[in-house]
Amino acid sequence: MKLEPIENSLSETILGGFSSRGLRVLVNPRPEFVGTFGALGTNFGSVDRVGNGQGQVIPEGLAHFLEHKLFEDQMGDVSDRFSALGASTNAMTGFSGTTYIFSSMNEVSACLELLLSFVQTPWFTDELVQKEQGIIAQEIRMYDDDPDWRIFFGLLRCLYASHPVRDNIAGSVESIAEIDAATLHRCYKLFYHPRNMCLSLSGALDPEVVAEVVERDQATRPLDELAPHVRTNPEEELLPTSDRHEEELSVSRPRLLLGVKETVLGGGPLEVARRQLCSRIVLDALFGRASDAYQSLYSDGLVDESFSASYSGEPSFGFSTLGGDTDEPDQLEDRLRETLAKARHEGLGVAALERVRRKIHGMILRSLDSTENIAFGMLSEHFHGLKPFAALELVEQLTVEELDNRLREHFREDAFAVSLVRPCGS
Amino acid sequence: MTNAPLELLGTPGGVEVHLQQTARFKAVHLHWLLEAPLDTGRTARAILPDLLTRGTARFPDLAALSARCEELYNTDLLAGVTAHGTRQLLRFGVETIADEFSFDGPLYVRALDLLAEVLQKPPLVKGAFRPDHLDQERVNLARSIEALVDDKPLYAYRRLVEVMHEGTPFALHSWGEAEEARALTEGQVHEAWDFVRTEAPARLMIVGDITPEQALETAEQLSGVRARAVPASPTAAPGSPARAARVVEESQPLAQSRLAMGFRLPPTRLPGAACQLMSLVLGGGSHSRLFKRVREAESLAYGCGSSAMLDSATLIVQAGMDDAHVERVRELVLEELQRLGTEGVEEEEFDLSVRAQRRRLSVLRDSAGGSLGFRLAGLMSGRATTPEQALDQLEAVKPAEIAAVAAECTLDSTFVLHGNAE
Repeated sequence: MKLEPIENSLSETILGGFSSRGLRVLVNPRPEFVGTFGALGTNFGSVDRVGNGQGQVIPEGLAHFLEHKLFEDQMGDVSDRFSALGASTNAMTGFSGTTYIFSSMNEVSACLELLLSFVQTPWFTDELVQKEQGIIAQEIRMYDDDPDWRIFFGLLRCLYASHPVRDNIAGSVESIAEIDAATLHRCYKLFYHPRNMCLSLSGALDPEVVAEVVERDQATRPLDELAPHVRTNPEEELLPTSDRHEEELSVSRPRLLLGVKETVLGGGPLEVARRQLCSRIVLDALFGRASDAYQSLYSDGLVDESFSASYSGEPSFGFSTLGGDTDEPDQLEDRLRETLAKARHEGLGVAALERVRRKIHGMILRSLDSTENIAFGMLSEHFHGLKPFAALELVEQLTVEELDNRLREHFREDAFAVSLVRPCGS
Repeated sequence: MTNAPLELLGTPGGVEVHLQQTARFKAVHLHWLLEAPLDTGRTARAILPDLLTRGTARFPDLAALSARCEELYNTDLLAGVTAHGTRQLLRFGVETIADEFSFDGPLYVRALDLLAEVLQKPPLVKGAFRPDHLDQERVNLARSIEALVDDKPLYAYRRLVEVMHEGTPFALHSWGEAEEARALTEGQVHEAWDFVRTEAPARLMIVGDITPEQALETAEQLSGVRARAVPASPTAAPGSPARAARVVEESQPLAQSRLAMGFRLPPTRLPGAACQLMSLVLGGGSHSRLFKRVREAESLAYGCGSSAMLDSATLIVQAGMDDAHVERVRELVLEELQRLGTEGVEEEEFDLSVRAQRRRLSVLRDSAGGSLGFRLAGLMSGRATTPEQALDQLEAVKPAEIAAVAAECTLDSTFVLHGNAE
């Protein structure tokens, strides 16, 4: 496997190549560090509920369940073998991906071999699946007591009528009870194959050694005859299915989350990336710490440090969320809506754009101080079809007109929904 | 590339100046750390981080100050308060990209000026804090304290610490009390500010491409007019009070119950690495006994872990589980700790724990924040201040010491938060 330099706007050394089986490999050598961070990701997350055009229904929570089960094979717990190498390991499942990671100091080759081996060598039995159901049920209940999690998924259930993004990533106690070893095997085969995966490493590593280890592993795998997973767009209403969700939880104060459903879907990687970047900049200009709105809401006691505004978008779904703890949720909601309505009418100011450019430049540069950030960033950019540090180039091209267009296109009143958590008995 | 370790540069005017001059990182991390006793006046000091970052004389409100940070390439203005043993620690600072990456001239000096303004030049009105700022931050602090109950694992941990260390500074939260926060007067807050900027023992810690001369100039600029005050010596951990083990139970409408068990670590083994290693063997990750037994063998909890707080000689074990399984988890924790004490540590688990700790200590060098935090904790607790020292201490631990620590641990308090949601 040949690793070749990938041009990027920060002139960082980033090398990329494909294994003989089609696995994308990205490497960022950082000789000044002592540790190495590795991440092996697959393009399979909680929103993937239908198998690659074959119409097979995938149970809610399956991707997360698979993530748990891959850590156990015929030799026992994989984590123990990483520990024996003085390394740590973990994994995480999101809406559109699952990632397995390790952090190592001196045993990069051995850790890489182990990472590639355990993720690509599944071993599922019904007995072990049953044991894991109990553990994951506890994880689900833990999230049930997390107000941030509850308010977020309460909002997604308002925004989406049927898109799987509305479902808990870990599934429900009922849905995971239906999962068995055969289902895990079936889904594993659909999504865990080299052409649907990406390996990303950053740290004190030798690229040639990485290439050798990867190729040695890949030579033992069968040829990958499956195409990378193409995410289909599930049928979904354009606008929110409901405008409000309220529930009582054991919290000290109310929390409000205003959501805006993305109504512009599809498009190529750059289009999706621009949508994401523009939405985030608009939110930052309107509700960031330096904004007039934040200043006014904070001074009026309607928000505190817990307030945040963010956007998340993929080709098949997207949403903005803004809110936080407040004693006056109705007033806060009105003020957020008013701010957005006024901005839609008046547009954004020019002054914000240059500041945002400097802000993004600083954020990306500082992220380079962490091998973990770099490895995750390269992985995410690969799965989104982007070059490393694409945001830096994109932000240079943006104009105020484009931001104003995005503001009017995305933040439309009929795409709003609200999730509210109140203290029990209030 | 300069790559010196983080070390003490000097103590001009009593201010400890620690610098790691390195071009390894693209950012510069500057922390200005001020000490105060935890048991007096902590609420008035706890309001300062948020109050002082509301604005400065030059950037008089949140929007102006935040815009300035963004202009400075998203410089992070740090301001917070924590507790270390019996002391309250106020942390101010900046994290900003190194000068070489700035498109418009040196950045560090501008970020430093901003920090100095935050510390020394708030937007006073007739010599007093702006009443609107003070009113809002009083309320915000009180609400933050009251909201500690919202994070259930953290709440269970806090309640356990309060029960276990009742009547001592070790039980106190660094933010103070909600009622006190609501009642703070301008005079009390002003006095706290005067103390912080003119009397509080201070440490300056910098990691980044900064010369020793720049570091000393930084100390001078941040010090202002300051009485010479040296940071206090490390405090001794508390001894075990003579009393029976306590159990405190509460209920909330939750899906899951939380169990928090507090053990006293043997004072004679402190501040040794053996206590930390024992905690790793017992509940420090996926190789640990509690993970294997509570999660993997019996599927009772998603996680069950322990952590050793050496400052307060406390070992805390925590887990979340169905209410029906609280007692079983409690039994397993006691059983595993007792087994560790009587049968000793197995070779493999000892080896895995040492390796895990070795990695944690070694990779600290890759993180500016990690290096600063480790050194600070070492200085305040009288423990190792460099990863290398800690590694030497780790390698010296014998398996028999793990068993001895476990055998000498005594259960002090248990807190159970029963989840009783339908």
